[in-house]
Amino acid sequence: MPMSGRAKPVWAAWIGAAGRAFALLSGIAMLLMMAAGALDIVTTNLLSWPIAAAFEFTEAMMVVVVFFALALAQARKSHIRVEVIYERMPRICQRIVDVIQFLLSGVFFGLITYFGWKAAAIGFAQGEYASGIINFPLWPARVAMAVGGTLMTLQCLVDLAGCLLGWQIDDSADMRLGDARPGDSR
Amino acid sequence: MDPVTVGYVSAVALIVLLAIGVPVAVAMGTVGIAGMYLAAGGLFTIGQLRSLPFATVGEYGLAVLPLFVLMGVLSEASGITDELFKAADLWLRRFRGGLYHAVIVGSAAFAAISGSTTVNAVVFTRIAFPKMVEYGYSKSLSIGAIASAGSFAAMIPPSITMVIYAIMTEQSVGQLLIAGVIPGILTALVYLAGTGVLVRLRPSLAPRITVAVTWPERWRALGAVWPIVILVVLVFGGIYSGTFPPSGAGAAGACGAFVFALCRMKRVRGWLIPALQDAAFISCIIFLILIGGLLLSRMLVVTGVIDELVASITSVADTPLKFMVLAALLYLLLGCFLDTTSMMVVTLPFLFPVVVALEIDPIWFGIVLVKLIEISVVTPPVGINLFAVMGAVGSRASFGDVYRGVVPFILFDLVVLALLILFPALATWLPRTMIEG
Repeated sequence: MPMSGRAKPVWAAWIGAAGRAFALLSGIAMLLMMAAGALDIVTTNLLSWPIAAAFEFTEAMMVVVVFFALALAQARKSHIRVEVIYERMPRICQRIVDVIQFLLSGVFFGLITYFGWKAAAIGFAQGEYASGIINFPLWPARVAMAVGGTLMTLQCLVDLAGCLLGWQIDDSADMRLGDARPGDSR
Repeated sequence: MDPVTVGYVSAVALIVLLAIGVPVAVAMGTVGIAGMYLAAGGLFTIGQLRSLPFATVGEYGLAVLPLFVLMGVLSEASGITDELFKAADLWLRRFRGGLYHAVIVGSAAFAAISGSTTVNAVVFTRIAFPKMVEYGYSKSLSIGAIASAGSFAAMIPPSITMVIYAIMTEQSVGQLLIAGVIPGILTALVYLAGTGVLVRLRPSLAPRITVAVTWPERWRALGAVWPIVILVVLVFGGIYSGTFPPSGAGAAGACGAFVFALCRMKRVRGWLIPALQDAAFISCIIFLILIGGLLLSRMLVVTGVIDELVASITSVADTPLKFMVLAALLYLLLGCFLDTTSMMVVTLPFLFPVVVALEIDPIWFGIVLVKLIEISVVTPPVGINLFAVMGAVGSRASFGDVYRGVVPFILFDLVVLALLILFPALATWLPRTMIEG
């Protein structure tokens, strides 16, 4: 993709790099979630000995998987959208739509993040946990959600600023083939 | 503004935002939040914002989604799909149109370990299309077969589409996954029979392949796909027998796929991190759509729009059959613009209450809905699987080839749809026999 516009400031590049690092952590969390689930099945069915807090651990890892991958998904512009009309718009209209979508995304994730931090603070203060064979702390997952949400909100602001100020298009977010292949369900 | 008006204005705002290209999750989420705020006040909205995203993402029952995604991604990364197609090709080559049949059988088998229609179509385009062209098969029908067979992943478990339907409608994930087995196999059989008839009527569509294949070659190829058999038995067997819940089946399947990938690739460098990132990425996008859809759904409930809509729709479509026809038209239209997950999440808050009001079996409705979605992803002008295949084919085929190629398969799908509507037991019998974990 050809470079155009002004260079992106260093802080914006740092946010991009953080997004990539967090996406890696998200992948690792996925592996841990898989291992915990599989181990629990083996020990439950073969030894009648379920792993303590395996469910709660899986739930915490799911939060990490989803919220830590958010910023990179945004940086790669991989969120699912209807592009039939967008692609036929003149460039100026596309830019207006981009501003609207980055603004809405920023507000949406900003709200989730703000209330996420509040819930995390309350959870931490109260030592929130899920009761079971062992009391599994819930607040770290809430913090993970708030951290991932913060990074996502910042990425939305970077995209908004980039769109308004005409920063260079960042190819580094697309460093590999992994374009989203939505579950389609996609 | 009264709450019902807020609900309708929000629905219009959603359509506008989707149309101009705002991401589906963001459009649903922001419209849901704004509508809730206007109709039910700040306190209710804050309560939803505080609890819903965390509760959705941190719900054990939904762990099945990322784990099924991971299983499919790891299986594909291990290269097992190439072996699968090779085995299907060697076994089916002696029949006229054998490569079409190999694509259909291979896609059905891959669908049993992967839940994404697009991934399925793209993978088989890469593996099968060059070979089909090399042997003089019709480009058009080849693309049609690949794009259409790719949609099996929506029906055959582990289907992400089916899991999302179960979550949105609060049905049993296990029952819905198992309900897709017979319709999925039926679709594959109808495709096989249909392409068999087509190549008999027009032999030029599939020249006979004269390259001889020995029996040892066939058995060797079949021996290479045993990991898929193990994964399928592990996942289906576990869910069907109630040995473990769907999320456990996902973990077992993903772990199995991981072990097979490790054995095949010998090392972890170069494929594991990209595969994990891909799986995390896909899961993240699906969950965001779910969060947005649930916020929208809550808003529609609190504004009272759902009650009004159910009354309006049931006054027009007062029988299940009329409603099914309406739903079919809606999904075929939406399939032109939206992917399967978004289509379902956007529409179910409106449609499922009607299903309940008309006392339609939710499992049966789910299967018919997924069938409609399968058809919509290959319906021109802009079915999403068509674009996926076109992207992978590049300049080797035109859109005209693609459109012509999918027509016979859409007709086959309509036959299956008619069978599913006429004989609901095709969808409901198997889940009734299972033991819930």
